[in-house]
Formats: sequence, C-alpha cells, structure tokens
Amino acid sequence: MKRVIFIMGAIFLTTLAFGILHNQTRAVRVDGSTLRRQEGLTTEKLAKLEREHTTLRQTVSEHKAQRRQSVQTLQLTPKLADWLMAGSYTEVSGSFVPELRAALGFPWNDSADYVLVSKATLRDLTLPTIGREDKLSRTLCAILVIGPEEQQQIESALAQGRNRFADWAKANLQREGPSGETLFSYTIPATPEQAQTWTNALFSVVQNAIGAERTGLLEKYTADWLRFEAGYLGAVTNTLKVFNRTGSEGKTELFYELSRSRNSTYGQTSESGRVNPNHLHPTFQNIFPGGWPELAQREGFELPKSFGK
Amino acid sequence: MNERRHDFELLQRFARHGEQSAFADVVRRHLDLVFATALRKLEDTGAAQEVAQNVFTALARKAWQFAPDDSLPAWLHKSALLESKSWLRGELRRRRREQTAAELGTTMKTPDEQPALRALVPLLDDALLSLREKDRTALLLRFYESQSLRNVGAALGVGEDAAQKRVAGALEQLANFFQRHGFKTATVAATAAALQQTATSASAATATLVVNAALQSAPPALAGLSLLLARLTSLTKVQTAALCVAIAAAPVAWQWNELRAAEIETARLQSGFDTARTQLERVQTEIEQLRAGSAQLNGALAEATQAQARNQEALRKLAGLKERLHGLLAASDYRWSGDLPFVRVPRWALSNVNSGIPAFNASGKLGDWITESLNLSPEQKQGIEQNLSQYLEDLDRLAGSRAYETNATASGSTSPLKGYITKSLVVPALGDDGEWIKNNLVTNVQRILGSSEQASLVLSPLSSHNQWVALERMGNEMIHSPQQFTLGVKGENTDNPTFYLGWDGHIGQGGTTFLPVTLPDFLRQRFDPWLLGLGITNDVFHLPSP
Repeated sequence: MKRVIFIMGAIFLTTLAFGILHNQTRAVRVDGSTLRRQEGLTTEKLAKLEREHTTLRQTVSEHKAQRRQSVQTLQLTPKLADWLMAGSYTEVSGSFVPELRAALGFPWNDSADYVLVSKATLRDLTLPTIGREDKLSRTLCAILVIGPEEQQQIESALAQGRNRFADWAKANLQREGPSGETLFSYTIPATPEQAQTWTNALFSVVQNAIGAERTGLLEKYTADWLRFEAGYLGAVTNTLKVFNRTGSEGKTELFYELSRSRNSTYGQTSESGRVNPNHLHPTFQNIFPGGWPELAQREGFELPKSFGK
Repeated sequence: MNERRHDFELLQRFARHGEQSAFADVVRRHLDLVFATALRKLEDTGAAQEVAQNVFTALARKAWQFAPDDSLPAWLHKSALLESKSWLRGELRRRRREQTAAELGTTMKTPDEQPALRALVPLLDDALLSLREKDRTALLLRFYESQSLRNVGAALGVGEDAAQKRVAGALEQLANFFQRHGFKTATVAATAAALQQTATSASAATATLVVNAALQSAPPALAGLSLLLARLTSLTKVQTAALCVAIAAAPVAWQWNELRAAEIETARLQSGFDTARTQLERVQTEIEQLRAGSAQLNGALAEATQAQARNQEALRKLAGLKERLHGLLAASDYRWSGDLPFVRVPRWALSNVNSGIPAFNASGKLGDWITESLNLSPEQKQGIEQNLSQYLEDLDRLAGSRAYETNATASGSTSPLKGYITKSLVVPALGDDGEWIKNNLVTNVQRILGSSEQASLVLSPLSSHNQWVALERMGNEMIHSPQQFTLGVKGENTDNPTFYLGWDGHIGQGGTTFLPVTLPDFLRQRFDPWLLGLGITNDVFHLPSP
C-alpha cells in the first residue's frame, strides 16, 4: 500500500512539475506566437517598404539622369542667361565682356575692315581726339561714328568755347616781370564758375549732336586735351614764364616754363624748354593768335633765328 | 525457490487468478505458525483455530497487497498476535479463559519438569516482536514452520551459514530480552527450547477449516483498478523507485524538452524579428532619405527644367543678338547702336588706340582691352601670352645678371632722396642681347598675328609711358641705355618707414609702408635683402589686397 501511496505521490509531484513546465511552455509559445505574428507583419511591411525603396531608387536615379541631361544641355552660364533675359544690352561690365565674347563665338573675322569692340572696352581706350583748329581726329570720328554734320556741330561748339575763353582770358590776363633772368610771365587765372558754364555749353551741343552715350565717351577721351591743351575747361591756372638761361655751350638762350595748377588735389604740372618760335602752347595761342612772334613784338625780345640747331 | 518469493507468487496467483489451491498451499505452509502463536496467547485450541481462521481470512482479503520482498511469516505472526489480543479483549473469551485455565497443563506440551520454560512462554511473542523483521522471520520459519536452515536462508535471501548465524543471533537477542525482563537464567538454549516447545502443529481438519473459512470470505479475483493496484503493490522497492522515476522523469523531461524547444523557437523568432525590425528601420531610414533626396531632385529638376526653358529663351535671344551684331559688320549705313553692347570699329582706327591700362602685366597676361581691340582668338591670346612671359623672364634674367651696385644715386632723384638711406643699382645697356630677346618676341608675335600692324599694337606699350615702372617698359629702356635705380628708406626704425624709388630721370615715386609699384624680380631680389638688413620685414613692393 505504501508503494501505491508513494507512486501516487510521485505522480502528484510529477503532475505539479509538468503543470508548471506546461504553463511556462504555453507562455513561451504564446510569446513565440506573438513574435511570429509580429515578424510576419514586419516582414510583410519590410517587403512593401523594399518595393517602395526600389521604386524610389529608380525614380531618384531617373531624376538624376534627367537633371544631368538638363544641366548638360544648358549651354549658357546663369550670369549670361540672366543678362540676356534682362533684355537690356546697352550696359555690359568689362569683366563680363570676355564671357559674352566667348558665348558669341568671337573673334568674328567675317569682315576685313571692321571688328566689333565692346562699349566697356571703348571706355578703357585712349586715342587721338582733337587736332589743330579744333578738328576732331579721324580716329575719334570713326570709333564714335560721328558723321560730317555731327562733326561740324561739335567743332563749331569747340570753336565757340575757345573764343569765349580767349575773350575772357584777354580781359583777365595777368602780367609780371621782368625779374632777375625772367623777362616776363603771363598768368591766366582759374575760373571754375566760367569753366563749368563753358563746359556745360559745349557738351550740351555735343549731346544734342551725338547723344548721351557717345558724349560720355567723347568727354572721357577729350578730358585731358580740353583741360591741358585747350586749357579752359578744367578751371586750371596757366602760367607762361619766359626767361634767359645760359646753355651748355655758354651761350644765353631763351627758355620758357609752362605751369598748370588746377587745385590742391591735382597739384601742379609743368613743362619747360627752349622757346620754339613755331609753337606756342595752344592755351596762350588763344590769346596771342600770332604766336611767339606776336609775343616777341609785344614784349620786345628777340626770338631765336632757328630752333633745334 | 526462495521461500518468500514462493509465498508471494502463491498469493499473486490467488489474488489475480483466484487459484484456491495456491491459497491453500499458503495456509498449509504457515498454519502451524499462526496456530501456535494463537495457542500460546490464548491457550485454547478452539480459540487458536478461530484466530487462525481470522488471520488467513484477512490474508485472503489482503493477498494483493503483498510485495515480493514482504515477509509473510512476520506478517502472519504479527497478525496472529493482534487477532489473539483482540479475541482476549472480548468478555466472553475472558471467561472461557478462566474456565479453561485448569486445563492448561494438559494442553500445553510444556512438561512440568521445565517450569523455567513455562515462565518464558507469556513473554515469548513480545520478545519475538522486539526483534527486527528478518530475525523474527528467521526464528518463525525455523521453529514454528520447522524449516531447514537452508530454507530459512533462501527465504531471507542468504546462504545456509548466514541463516544459521541469523537464527543464533536472533535467539541470543530473545535470551537477552528475557534476561532484561527478569529471567536471569534464560539462556539461548532455554530460549530455543521455549520456541521448540511452543511450536504446535495444527490438525489437518483445522487446516481445511481455515482454508474454507478464508476462501469463503475472500474477494473474487482482482480486475481493473484493483488489479493495477495489485500490480503496483506487487512491485519491489527498486521497481517502485524505478516506476516513480519513470513516471516523474518521462513527462517532466518531455515537458522540459518542449519548454526548451519552445524557448529555442522563441529565441529564433526573436532573433528573426529583431533582424527584420533592424532591416525595417534601415529601409525606413533609407526611404526617408530617398524621399528627401527625391523631393530635392524634384525641386532641382523643376528648377533645371525651368532653367532649361529659360536657357532656351536666352539662347534664342543670343542668336538674335548675334544676328544683329553680324548685321553691324555688314551694314553699309552703319550707325551707332545705343541698345547694343558692341560697336563696329574700323581696323585701321584700332592701330591708333592705346589705353591707360597696361596691355599686359608682369607675367605676360594680356589685358582685356588689347585682346578685344586685336580681336584675338583664345589660341592667339595664349600664344602671345606665352611669348610675352618668356620675353619678360629672359629680360629679367639678363638684367639681373648684369646689374651692380653703385654709391651714386639715380640722376633726378638727388633732391627727393635727402635724408633717406639709399641703395642704388645700375644696369648697363643690354645691347644686342636685349635686342635679340625683343626681336624674338616681335617675330613670334608677328607670326601669331600675321600682321605687323596688329603686332605693333601689342608691342606699343613697350615704349609707352603708360607703363610706369614695370619691366615691359623698363626693359625696353634698358636695351638701349644704362639705367640706374635707387631705393631710399627713411624712418626705418619706426612703425611706418617711408620709401622712395628713383629710376634715372624717368620716375620718382614714394610711399609709406608700401611702394605703389610692381618691380621686376631682379630689382626685388637685390632690394629685399637690403631692406631685411634694415629690419623692414613687410613686403614693401606688394600692395596689400583691398
């Protein structure tokens, strides 16, 4: 009987242990089942996402190719495209010219006589402008496309301006000397207000003749000539001094010194040399149309017989 | 065969199959033991017979409970004693006991001449019960069932000698028991004699009576649950233990194995799930990045498409511009075009132009104005620049190799250099060597341009006063006549020293901290160490960047 009880006890304990293990197993299986379900859902979602991933990659790849193709087909730089689209071709900066020339395929050599030059480069050039008797140079007229009628209008305006200046200078001419080796000196004082008036009058005519753009270029090209050669548009004080100086051969010679002072900013420039009877500086030629002979007669000195010998 | 095993098998045959003959065998084998025991207690043959009946009846009922290693004699002895005591407790039996006390002497075989033995008899069964089961069984088999020592040993699972020793030992224990209970004279021999004297054989009639009575009250043969229980009961201790282990181990092990398998599966699933989740997160991240990239690309594509459309429009405008510009070149009635960026210029006019901007710099790179004025192609420009660079380099090297120091200052610089510390260099006229370098340049430029008129335009700056102090002008002067350069420094020990450079009568230029000039290398290489010696470490020839 004890054996039966013992066996029953063993069975009870076994059942208990079995039950505990069974419960644990069931719990683990429930977890496993949950995991399997989640894994299934995740895998399903993953498959869906991977399909989307593949589609997206393909789309991105296609877009990249399209973009590459678009970029490759672009032949103009954004800056050039912007300039072209702006529609106003008048203004072009100097730094932009090389790019524009390259885009246009310059140099063009389809004309043996002409070339195309940018307006920006025109502003950097220096060229012969005004010659004797206020004649515009051929080069200036060719570059600024100044026709005969326009040229005549401009030259008349220049002559008028010169005459106004001559009249004023004669009335305001200051004489000094003799003093030491200096025989005499003539000074045309600066007259800023008058100079501005004459300048305005001149370029008003010029602008009416050839327009503002070419007037700007002409003003730039002729600025030095008007200031220093014509001598009346820069509010410059011009002084001509004539003096005797012993030359290298021990002979006394006639020298001149022309000094031009504009204001404290620009300072003073001067040139000097032996007197050439055939060439009086244009500023003073306006006052003494007879040149050095007229001056010699007026001041009572003798001009050298020859020059440069 | 083992006596104990034999008893077990007989009882099993009886219990399982209802073999009455088997039970009768059991009764015959052990009736004497039971009867003698009862008789000793009850001292009444009839009562002993009744007790024997009861004991075997109980055995018949409980036959299925016996295990192979159970000692049937011990159980019967004990049961006989208990049954006898039970009988004695009855009132009626007690009276009969009194009435028959006188007959005791006739019924007991104990002779009168053995009073000591008679005194031991009442305590004999208590003494037997005090023994261990195996010792008791040995004595019961030996003395009450008259088994040989060999059979006794077989019943106990030992050899004959061991059985003899066990019997002797048991007798000695009984003797000790008696001695402890006041029978000082009780010896082993006396004890053995007492056992022999109290052994009584039941009659055949008694045996038949007992068998019949037991069988009448015996249950039918076992079946179903009873049979299972009988089988379980019949297991040995080892078998029982093995069964218990089997019962416990198999399901627990199976379930444990199931648990382990489930855990492994769960771990595998967890791993798979984790992997899938990681992949999912990675793919999600990549998709987000791709979406962002795609959105950006969409935007960029839209912009590119827009830019392309705009570009097409711009190209169209460029084509229109080209057409108009071509028209300028061919126009017979050309007029100034206010709305175009280019103007038409006669080639002859360009040979008269110049610029305040150097045509080329110190490394030979052409300025934009000269490039445009000459209408140079990129190849022409590159060729001219290479030749100019070579020309400047050669001239610089030649001038550097011939330059020497002098104590005299450059003419025309005497007055401005008062108060300055000066260093003067003289470069003798470079002559034919310089002329060769220049002619080489002219020849190469003419070869590139194919027109001496255009070439002169490039080269005109070589003699131009626009080039203030750069080598391109300086070099041209140095070819024909000696040139002297004087550098002066004032206030060299202050934070702001003043510099002045004089070049014969050509120029004189001063400045504070920096000289606003770009000197050829050969002059810098001579002047720099001198300035360093004066403690002036800044590069006075390089203007700082704006």
